[in-house]
Amino acid sequence: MAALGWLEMAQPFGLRFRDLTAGLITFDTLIRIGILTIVVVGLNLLMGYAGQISLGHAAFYGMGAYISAIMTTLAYRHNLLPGIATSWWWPWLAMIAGMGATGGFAYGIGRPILRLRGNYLAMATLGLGIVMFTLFRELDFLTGGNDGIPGIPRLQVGGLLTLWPMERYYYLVWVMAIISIAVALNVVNSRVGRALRAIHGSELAANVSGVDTTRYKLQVLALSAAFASLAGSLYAHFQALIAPTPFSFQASVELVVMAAVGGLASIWGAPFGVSLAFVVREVLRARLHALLHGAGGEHEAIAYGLILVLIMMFMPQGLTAGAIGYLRQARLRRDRRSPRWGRMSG
Amino acid sequence: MPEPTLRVEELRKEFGGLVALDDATFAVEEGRIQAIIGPNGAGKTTLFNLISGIYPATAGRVYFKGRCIDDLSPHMRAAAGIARTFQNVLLFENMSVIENVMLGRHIRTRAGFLQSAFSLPSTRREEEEIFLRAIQYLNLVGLGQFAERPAGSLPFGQKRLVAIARALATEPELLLLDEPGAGLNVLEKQGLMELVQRVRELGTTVLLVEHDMSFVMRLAEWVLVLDHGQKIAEGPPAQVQRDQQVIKAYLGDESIG
Repeated sequence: MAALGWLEMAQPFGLRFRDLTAGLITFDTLIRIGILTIVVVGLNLLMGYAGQISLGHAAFYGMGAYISAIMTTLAYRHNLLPGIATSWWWPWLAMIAGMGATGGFAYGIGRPILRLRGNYLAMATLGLGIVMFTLFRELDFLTGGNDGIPGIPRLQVGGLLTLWPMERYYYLVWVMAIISIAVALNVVNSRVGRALRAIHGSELAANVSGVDTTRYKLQVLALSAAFASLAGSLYAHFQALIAPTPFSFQASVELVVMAAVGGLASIWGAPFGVSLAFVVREVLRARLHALLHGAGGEHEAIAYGLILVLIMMFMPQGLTAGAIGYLRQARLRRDRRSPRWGRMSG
Repeated sequence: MPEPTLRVEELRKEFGGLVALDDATFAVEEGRIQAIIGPNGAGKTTLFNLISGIYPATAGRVYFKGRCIDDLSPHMRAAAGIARTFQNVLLFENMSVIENVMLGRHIRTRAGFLQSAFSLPSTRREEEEIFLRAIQYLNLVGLGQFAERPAGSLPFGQKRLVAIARALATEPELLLLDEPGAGLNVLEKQGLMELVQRVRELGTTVLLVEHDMSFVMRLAEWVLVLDHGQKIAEGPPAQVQRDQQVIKAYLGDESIG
């Protein structure tokens, strides 16, 4: 993914990679994929590893975006913190504050919610998502209602380097995404990750074996929410204007779909799941009408849904695990044909 | 007189109107292999669930090494030194065999979210140590060669052993085994018996629930008999075997084999 950025900057053979992909994949898309990868990595920790479903993750994503947007615009507009709110590090501080606040909020709200299991937990998180979405829309004085918050500044480093245009912002987003992946991989391959997977396997056995299951579920929810919040902040500074729509219930569902397509319990699956969802939708938007005369938005939605269903039918463990499985089967078939019987272990 | 490892005082559990455990009082002396027997529905598993803190007792107290543990949640009881296995095994089937046993080391190790997230050198050392200790426990139950297998892929008898290794990895002073022999063949039972004896030699007190009478009579040094939630007899196996009330309640008219 990061290599694509290099391709665009360097333009080998005078080719812009936008030309290579016939305009289907742009920097804009790549940045969006990077941002959502961060959310999906966090969601994967919660759902794929700890086995706790969340149908309200867009709420945490939105909280990060709104906290960044509010802190970087309102303080400036009302001259609340002269000298501070205009400094280059203020938006970064807002980003960190957002992660802390969102994580803390998730921890607090998780206390009652995480007592629930399965469908009940799904319902509760769904409710949380709807409540937060309503707040984003209705708290006019803070969030600007449906019009949202305009004029969010670009990020800067040291007052000299502005992380804009997109070609530059792209690097920031993907550095953050890769750090998120690295952190998540470390967590997963550790004592903590083992405890999370044990909770998924059997909460009762984990508890009796010495895992403070309540605390771990709260902590992983908080961490997951902090990831979403970071992504939200990056989104706010990318768009420079935020409105409630991208943080709706529909967005929460789409996040779950991306996590599932990439593969639950697979951190590396996240960027692939997000990319596939994006690419499929973009391709459909650009090409479906050529394939199907008079196809409109609803046809795209149907085709999109159909493709996702097919993926989940044939690769129920997601893209990465599914691809690895197919490769292994292919190798097995090849080994069986060739006379090397030595390597028959599965 | 030294304090027994486990002391249960007038422990009672009601589910709605049903009395599952009716004021049971007994002790488990340190270093012993003790068995609880009784017909189905006698309250044996309920008793185990109360000792490991899965649900609260209606009345009564549980003392572990002289200390009342009624307020401790299950993971704190594990930290205090009580480990158990389950009748239906409850392995983490989404994990490998060795990971199951490594999870048992959780309570004896420290790394939290932050240390793990940055994979500090101390965290990696600890992880290495967890792995080595887990291998030891896996070897103890004789499954070292299956370390990397998915736990779900093992046959039933071996799953039981993995669950015991997982429990032992918490370094318990008291090990509760809920029907460890159920579903095992004669050979596996013999192995299990030797394993339990070795566990006791390593300094762990064992309390087990079991249906197989010959197994219990050969292994246990002290037997407690429950019927309808009540203790009806207790003593060395030979004595319990002759107890008229036990014979009537547990076996009808047949003698104990």
